[in-house]
Amino acid sequence: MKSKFDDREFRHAFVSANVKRGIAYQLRALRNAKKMNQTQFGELIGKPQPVICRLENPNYGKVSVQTLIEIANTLDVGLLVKFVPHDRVLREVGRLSQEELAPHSYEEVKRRSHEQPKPEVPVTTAAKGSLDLYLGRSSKLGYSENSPPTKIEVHHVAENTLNG
Amino acid sequence: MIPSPHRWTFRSYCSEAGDEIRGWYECQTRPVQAEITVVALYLQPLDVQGWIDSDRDYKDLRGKLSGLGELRFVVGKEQHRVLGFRNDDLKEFTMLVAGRKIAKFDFYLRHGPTALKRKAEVDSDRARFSCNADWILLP
Repeated sequence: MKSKFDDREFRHAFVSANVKRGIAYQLRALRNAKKMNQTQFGELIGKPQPVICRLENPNYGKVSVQTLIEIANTLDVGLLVKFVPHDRVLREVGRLSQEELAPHSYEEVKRRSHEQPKPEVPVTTAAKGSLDLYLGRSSKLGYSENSPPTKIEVHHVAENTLNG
Repeated sequence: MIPSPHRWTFRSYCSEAGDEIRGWYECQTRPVQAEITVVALYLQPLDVQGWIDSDRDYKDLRGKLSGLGELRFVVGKEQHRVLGFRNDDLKEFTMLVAGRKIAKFDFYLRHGPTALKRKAEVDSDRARFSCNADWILLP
């Protein structure tokens, strides 16, 4: 079946509408998550209320990368601005959710991860290292009492098995 | 009590000629088609309050058109509207009339009565006068 996305003009307009709306919806969701009005949110991120109003307008689309970085840093959330293939755009838009529109701050992610039970599935050394680093519970080999080391099983293959 | 579905679905008014909103959509330029599709995709995961708060993309109408709402979007300098109504229990938005808004009240004077008439028809027989409009979400 022919997709509307096969049309170059449609694709370009879609990307534009998606980027503008993505920023506007995220900012509104982040503000709502803090239960703030535009004036209060503006005070938090150092912008006057009319600027917040403009940033939340999905038709505006003139926000600078610098402004986005400043907002991300103030709220302590991550920010990705990157060129991607169109199919990635479609996948991302297709799985939009209200929760994802307002990501948690670094500290909130950390707090929630400590409240959750430890995963029972085996974690690879590399993945575990990254996770621990992110959660701030890594010392090279030692773990705090609150985060006992995950059991890592290493299976050795008998030499004669490999050699047939 | 019927559990509320996670995401909104979109429906169209259907006359004997078929899906009236799709007919309008197919006649629009690519940028207009892309914009309305993105609006629908962003509204789809929101809860009811999210729709009400997103007054740039959706707005409840008042006065004589109370009970209706509109999807709103701008392409270039042209304002477009899709009049319809929400069913919050089913998480459904049924699109009734679509068009370009030129003057402030012109659009509602021209299309408001049609939208109300169509809503009454859909309310009386949902299966006969409306159909699934998933096509709006498919790029």
